[in-house]
Amino acid sequence: MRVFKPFKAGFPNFRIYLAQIWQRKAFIHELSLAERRLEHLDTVFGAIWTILSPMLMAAIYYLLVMVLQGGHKPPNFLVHLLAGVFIFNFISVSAMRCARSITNSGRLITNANFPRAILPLTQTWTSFLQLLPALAILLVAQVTLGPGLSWTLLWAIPDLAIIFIFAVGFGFLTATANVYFRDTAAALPYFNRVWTYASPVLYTADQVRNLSTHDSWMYVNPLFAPLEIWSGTIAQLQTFPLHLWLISLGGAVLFLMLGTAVFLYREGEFAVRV
Amino acid sequence: MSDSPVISLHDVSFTYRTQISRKPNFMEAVRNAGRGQRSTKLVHALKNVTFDVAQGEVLGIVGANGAGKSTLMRAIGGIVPPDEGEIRVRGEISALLALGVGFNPQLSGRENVILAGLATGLSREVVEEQYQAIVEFAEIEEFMDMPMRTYSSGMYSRLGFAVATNMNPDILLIDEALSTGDAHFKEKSSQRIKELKDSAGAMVIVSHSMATLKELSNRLLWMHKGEVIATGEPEKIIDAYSKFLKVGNINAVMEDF
Repeated sequence: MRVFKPFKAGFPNFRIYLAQIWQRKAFIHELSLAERRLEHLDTVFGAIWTILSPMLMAAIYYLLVMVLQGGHKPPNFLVHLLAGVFIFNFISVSAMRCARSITNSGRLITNANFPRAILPLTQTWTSFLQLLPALAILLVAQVTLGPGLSWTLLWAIPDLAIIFIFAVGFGFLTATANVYFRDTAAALPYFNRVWTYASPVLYTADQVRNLSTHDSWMYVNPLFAPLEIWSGTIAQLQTFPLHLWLISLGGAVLFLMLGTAVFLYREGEFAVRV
Repeated sequence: MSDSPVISLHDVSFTYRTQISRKPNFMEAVRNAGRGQRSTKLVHALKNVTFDVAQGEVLGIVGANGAGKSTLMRAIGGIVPPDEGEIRVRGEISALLALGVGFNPQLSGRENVILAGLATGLSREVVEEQYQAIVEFAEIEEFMDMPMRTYSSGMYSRLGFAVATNMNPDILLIDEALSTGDAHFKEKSSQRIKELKDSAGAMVIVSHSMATLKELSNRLLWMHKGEVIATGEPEKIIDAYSKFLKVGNINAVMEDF
């Protein structure tokens, strides 16, 4: 027996909702695989683009940093740069895809009943699947140009999970925002670009820390700590104190909760808004 | 348990805001902030609608354009939550409100059928089992591995119809979807709906074809501007509704109803 009532304070029943999403996990994965396959179908290089585009981006940033900073670079800087650029590319691609996930599915949303959250979730998962080949390249670079394999590298896995949680939450936010302001998707690339500059991608966290004695402001950026751990682990084989992990996890969970709340609160209205 | 209605609507109302001009952009939103909802209009799509659909019953819905028929279907299908009242539904719903909306034209027919099945929450095994029946019904076996953008519109909606009616729904909601494809497939799909009438728990059909409604439904519901005007025997309602279409005045028709 299903009961459709006015949403309690705007929210659907969370437990039932979660169960419905879990029931459709096979759908999310299959659709993501299909979308990944389709994305570069009409280009000559095809699927190679999923590797080529983050590498080209890394090359451009590398040149940029070379020009701006000259010869003084921290050790293993190229590995650090690749690690940061690949992750940031994942977050911006996911945010972009999520932003359009609801507004591009108008007919589906007005004619079929399903938990709407599977649309942005599918996009985040697709972006994650696209990240995997780039991570393979990163691993090769880490072994050949960087410090090489070590058990410390395993710390990158929980950090990647934190970054994924963040991407899901951020995706929910951009998906909802774009329903109300279609300009979101247009403004997002610039927003992401500025965000990249505010994160330890083109520079290392230590470089910023050396600039001033008051360095805690940089954690206002919820991606700062996860990226610091990510590239520090991979490029320097560093281990990080617990408080930094807690800041990372806290920021990601906060975004997940905020994104989920905003999305679910507005979801009932999507059918008349798209 | 089987005596209780399969679909039960109690005092359901649905209101939505619609943009008069277009979607607001950021600057307009800033400008309109604090000035009230100037660019939107309130639409009362459903007003205190109450009715039940019993097990095995086929309820037909008639009404002029803008009567709220599609909104009612969307509310029963759980697509839009009501603003007031309550809708109780027992069983799995399959909604044929528009055919093949979830299909991705770049993907093959086969992939789309599998995805459509998984999207309704069915397991992979169940979807694989249903696959053959769907393909046979749609009669497009040789096209199943081609991308759906190469399909004709008739093939497209045939596959949509086959998917929607082969997922063993308990409750089927059909919105004008009966006229699909060529004469042969039309015959086949109305045959299919008659079969489902026996196997499905209940059915709600919206149609402008009085002949279809007379043939399929046990009971008719007449809606006008979001309200239920009358419900009862198909012949009786069709008479009253046809008279209304000629006269254009509800009160005049309802006097001798």
